[in-house]
Amino acid sequence: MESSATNVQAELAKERNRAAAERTLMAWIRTCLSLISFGFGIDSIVRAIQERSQAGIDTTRFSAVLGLALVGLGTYAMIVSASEHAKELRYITRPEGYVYRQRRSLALTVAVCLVCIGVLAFVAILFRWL
Amino acid sequence: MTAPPQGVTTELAKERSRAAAERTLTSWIQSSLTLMGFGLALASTIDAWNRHFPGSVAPAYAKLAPYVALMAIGVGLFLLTLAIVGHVGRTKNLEGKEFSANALYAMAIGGIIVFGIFAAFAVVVQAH
Repeated sequence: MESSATNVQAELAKERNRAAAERTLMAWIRTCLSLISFGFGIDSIVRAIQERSQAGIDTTRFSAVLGLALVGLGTYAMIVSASEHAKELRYITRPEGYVYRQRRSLALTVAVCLVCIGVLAFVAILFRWL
Repeated sequence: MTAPPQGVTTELAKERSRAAAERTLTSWIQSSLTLMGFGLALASTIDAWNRHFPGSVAPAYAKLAPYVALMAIGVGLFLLTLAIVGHVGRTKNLEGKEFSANALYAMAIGGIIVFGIFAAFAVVVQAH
């Protein structure tokens, strides 16, 4: 009787984990969409202004590098998060018992990369504008 | 020292807590990206516009824009750094390791202060 109750609790916990993994993947989809659309958008806006102007000054390099970095980071995060989601679902449904695994945090990697991009952008704006 | 495995429900709860920590940092990434994105978009757009269509941006806006952009990027970086420190602390605690965020917070805040001093110095040098 007790083992059956434990089994039900474990199964319900697995279901909560599956829902949590689903929410995490959706959070990653939103984040990656923001990264990719912002990277693409900033490059497109600056290019559009450049194309319509009469002056021959090229200001697109900085925005192109920045846009490419953000699009690359967003694409990398989406691929890795989708792969981690699939692994997690497989791990939950395996017949052996569940043991929490220590692993590298994707959010931490993306956050550190974003800090580096932000610092570069800050320095670039500082020295170009002021 | 890593804690030994406990019951299945406890291990599953740890995994959920980790996923929650991951989502929390993801939310902070989104908020910081919005702030930094605003700053970058403002700086890039006004800069490109001002170079290609001289005189089309009011001088007051052209002068104010870089300061607003730098402030937005700086605040975004500050918040993201604090979120990273909090995330590291939460995941270490989940692994059963003793973790005090104080040293990491001190390092992060020290780094931000050095960065701020460098930025202020650059502003003063460029202004003269």
